[in-house]
Amino acid sequence: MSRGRAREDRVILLVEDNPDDEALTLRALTKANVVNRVIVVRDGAVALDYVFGRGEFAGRDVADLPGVVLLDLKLPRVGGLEVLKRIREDGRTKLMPVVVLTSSDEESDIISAYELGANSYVRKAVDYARFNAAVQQLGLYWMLLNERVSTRLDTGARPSPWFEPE
Amino acid sequence: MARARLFEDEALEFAESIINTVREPLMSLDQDLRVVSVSRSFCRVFKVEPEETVGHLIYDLGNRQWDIPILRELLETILPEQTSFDDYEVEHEFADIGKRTMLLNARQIERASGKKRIILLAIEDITERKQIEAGLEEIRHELQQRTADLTAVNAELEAFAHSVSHDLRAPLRAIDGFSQALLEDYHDQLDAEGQSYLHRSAAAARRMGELIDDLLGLSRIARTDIVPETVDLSAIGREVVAELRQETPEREVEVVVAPGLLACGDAGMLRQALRNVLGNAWKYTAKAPVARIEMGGTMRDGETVVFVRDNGVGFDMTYSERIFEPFQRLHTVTEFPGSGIGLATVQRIIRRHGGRVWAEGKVNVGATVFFSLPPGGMER
Repeated sequence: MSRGRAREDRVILLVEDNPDDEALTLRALTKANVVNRVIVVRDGAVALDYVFGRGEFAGRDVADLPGVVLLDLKLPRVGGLEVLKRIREDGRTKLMPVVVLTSSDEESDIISAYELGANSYVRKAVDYARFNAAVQQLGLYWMLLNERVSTRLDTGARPSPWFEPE
Repeated sequence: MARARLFEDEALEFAESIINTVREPLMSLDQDLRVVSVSRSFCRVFKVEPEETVGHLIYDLGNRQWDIPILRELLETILPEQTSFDDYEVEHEFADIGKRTMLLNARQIERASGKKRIILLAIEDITERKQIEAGLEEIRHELQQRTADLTAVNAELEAFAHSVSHDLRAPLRAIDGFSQALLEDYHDQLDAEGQSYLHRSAAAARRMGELIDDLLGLSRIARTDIVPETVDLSAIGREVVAELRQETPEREVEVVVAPGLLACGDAGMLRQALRNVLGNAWKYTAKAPVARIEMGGTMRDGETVVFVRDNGVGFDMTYSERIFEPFQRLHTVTEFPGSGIGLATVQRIIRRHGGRVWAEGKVNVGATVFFSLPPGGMER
């Protein structure tokens, strides 16, 4: 863990334009005692600014990757699939865990997300109990259980078990 | 000399018999373009008698009906230069037989020992073929247009479903979610009645979520391609029953599934259809003292007819058509839960396979749902 932060210091990047979903997601994470800071961005362009340290996030250390990105698909400006594509195209972020968290269960969305290298695809259930359980499990799994690449990704780190680049 | 003469006669006879056998109208002309002979089919197609033609100038035939500018050009300019021409399409309005499209082929035959050259002219009447081709072209065009329309409608449906999938669910999640949050976080500040109202609004939101899921499922059947294969319906039936037993272990249902029912169709869709039909039987036998479900069928000439019979609440045959319409229910949600989309789904699946669905029932005696699957299981 030369550059890696302690687990609890890693942030969760929540890319979500719906304030209700945002509030419900944050509530679910809090209830699950996920203590990690959650950065909320409300469109795809700002999400990319955060990830690549541009715009309002200029100067942010790009190597300090979020522990997980929870990515909605239908987003203003730059859509979720496009965000995912650009994250995977960049050597610095191609192994960053990205979980698609969306209302859609259309086959085409699921296939596109996996083709672009999503680590997981989770549907936001209408039923809050199920939504709650899903978000809590995601938080716990990605922030506590999952082991991530510990060195800088652009210095030739081996792929981690959870994402095999093509 | 006599022998040679005999030989020539024989050759002529042979040539004439060929000309008369060939279905295509044929004529031979001398070098001044006068008719030497015409075939039987020429006379038949162009409604002339041999006597009216032989010795006449081709252009004079049938009251100068054959005085066609392009024919003149072909016979007087092109043929002398090239000694032949092939498949020249000529359209001409004849007084007697109307507008005809002809395919002209000609050979100029040089003869030995200074005899005059003759011209062999074959005239194929392709009018009907042209008409059929034009008709086919029109049909093809129409089909293309319809395919384009359908593709556009499908794309629109796809976009609509996509938008429903994304946008219609989020507000419902908010209603359910914040109702639950209120119930959990502000439990103390709400009396029993207040809590019950919140439960109701949350339940209503969830129910609408289920309706949206079912509607999307129904539209997905129309949007998904059928991948036909041989499907063991009996095996699927047994699997579905096992699932139902697992989901409601408290239910005791006698189930008989006849073995060996095969059909050709999309395995996933047929599973969905059976899941709905058997699920219905399962649901509507909940109040029967001894619940019984039987799945059976027949296979004849490649067609498979399947029935699922139960001894549940049944239905009034007056409504036997309505039960296949989406959102039509013959029971209240409190009596039996459901969105009323199950049999509509079944009907859509079976129709896409080119089959038929129907049902028989009697109130408080039971219901039987039938469906047929044609050989091949292809889309109509």
